[in-house]
Amino acid sequence: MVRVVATSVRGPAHVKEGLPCQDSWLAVAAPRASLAVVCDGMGSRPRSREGARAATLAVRDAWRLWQRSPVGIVEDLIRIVEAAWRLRLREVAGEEASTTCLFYAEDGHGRAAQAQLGDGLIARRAADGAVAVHPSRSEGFGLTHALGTPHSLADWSFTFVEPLAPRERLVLATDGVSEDLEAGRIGDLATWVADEIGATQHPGRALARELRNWPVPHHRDDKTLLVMWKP
Amino acid sequence: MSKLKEFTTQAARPLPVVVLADVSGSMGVDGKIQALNLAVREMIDAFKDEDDLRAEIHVSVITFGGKANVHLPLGRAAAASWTDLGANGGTPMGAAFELARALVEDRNTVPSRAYRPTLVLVSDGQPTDEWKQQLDALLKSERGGKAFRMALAIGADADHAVLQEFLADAEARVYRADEARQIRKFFQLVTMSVSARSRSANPNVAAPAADPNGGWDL
Repeated sequence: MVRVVATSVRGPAHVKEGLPCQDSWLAVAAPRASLAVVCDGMGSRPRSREGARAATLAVRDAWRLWQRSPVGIVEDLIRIVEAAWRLRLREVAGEEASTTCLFYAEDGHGRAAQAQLGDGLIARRAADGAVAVHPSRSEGFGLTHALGTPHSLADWSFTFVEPLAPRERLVLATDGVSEDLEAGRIGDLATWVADEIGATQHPGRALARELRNWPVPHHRDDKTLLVMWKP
Repeated sequence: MSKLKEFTTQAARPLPVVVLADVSGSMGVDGKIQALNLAVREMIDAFKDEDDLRAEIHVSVITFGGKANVHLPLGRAAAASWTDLGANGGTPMGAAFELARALVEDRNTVPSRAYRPTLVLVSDGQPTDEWKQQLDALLKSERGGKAFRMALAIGADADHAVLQEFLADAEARVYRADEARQIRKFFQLVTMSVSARSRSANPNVAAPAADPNGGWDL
């Protein structure tokens, strides 16, 4: 079964303003199929915290249904996510709760999906050290696509991938983390989180401490980092 | 020391400001080039004095007078060393547009983690080279089209139509300086605009506009 270390922390801007973290994450580590989701609520929208939380739950809703079919395609999964997100939001208007959405979902039939709408990072470090970064469709300069903003299926970056192999590591991060990472060190970051943070008594708390002490000058964003691996 | 330091860049996210400055021969009269030099120097000095910023302001100055030239390569405002401009030659604005496009599209110079750049165009005359195609390329480029843009027309001979096309927004305003001292006022407005954005929660979003009649009307 996979292991997961993940956390979200408030960035200095939200700490200063007394606002809650607008990132959210969710992971399911199950014997048959696993799921990892990170979402970054857009700071300019008043209900984005709820939007990000609803998006993680919507991906779980959609994934549970999607797993039932051995022939479901990634597009099906994304369409269900979009619908489930709006239902999860109840009376909250989508445009007030805009959020990015990145996930990795195993279907239990020997396949897995990776999908990304908006900024952030999905990457995998294979057992031999090779790192593959999921291509994003980010528009750059923070002009990100998101649930709750005008977009189409074509704005999602998605693909089928092999499920995690033994000793392989998956990284999901919101842009508060990914924008400051050295591209050549993503694999080392995954290894550090899995081997060192994962070995501590309270990995989530240990990772949160590290993220709160983010070492990049002038950083302000909320930060979410999720590492999932198969020992 | 945080272990994360090994995996992260140690540079703050840059917020680029690119000034396209007309230094053609006509800028040499009525104290215009002197006013421009003073204004840009003050802008850079003001950026140097900024602290508590979310972004690190980077500045470049592209000149067009006789030929287009990168007078100040894009780099940290805090480390910028300004040398005064002279005025000479025609107005190759199209070549300046091309240099600006190449600059903002260069991922090594303006990394993907940079905030949206601000492009500032200042001119007192009409382009003397082919410019439509170059401006079109700038505005349609992936990153140039997303940049914030500001424009200043100096004197009665400035080509307002070209400057308005540069803004590519019918509601955006071409500022006008009838006297040299108003050049300085415009750059104070640029400074305020960039500084406000660099301090805001999201520097990729335009800072609230200053009161249109509240002292910023040149």
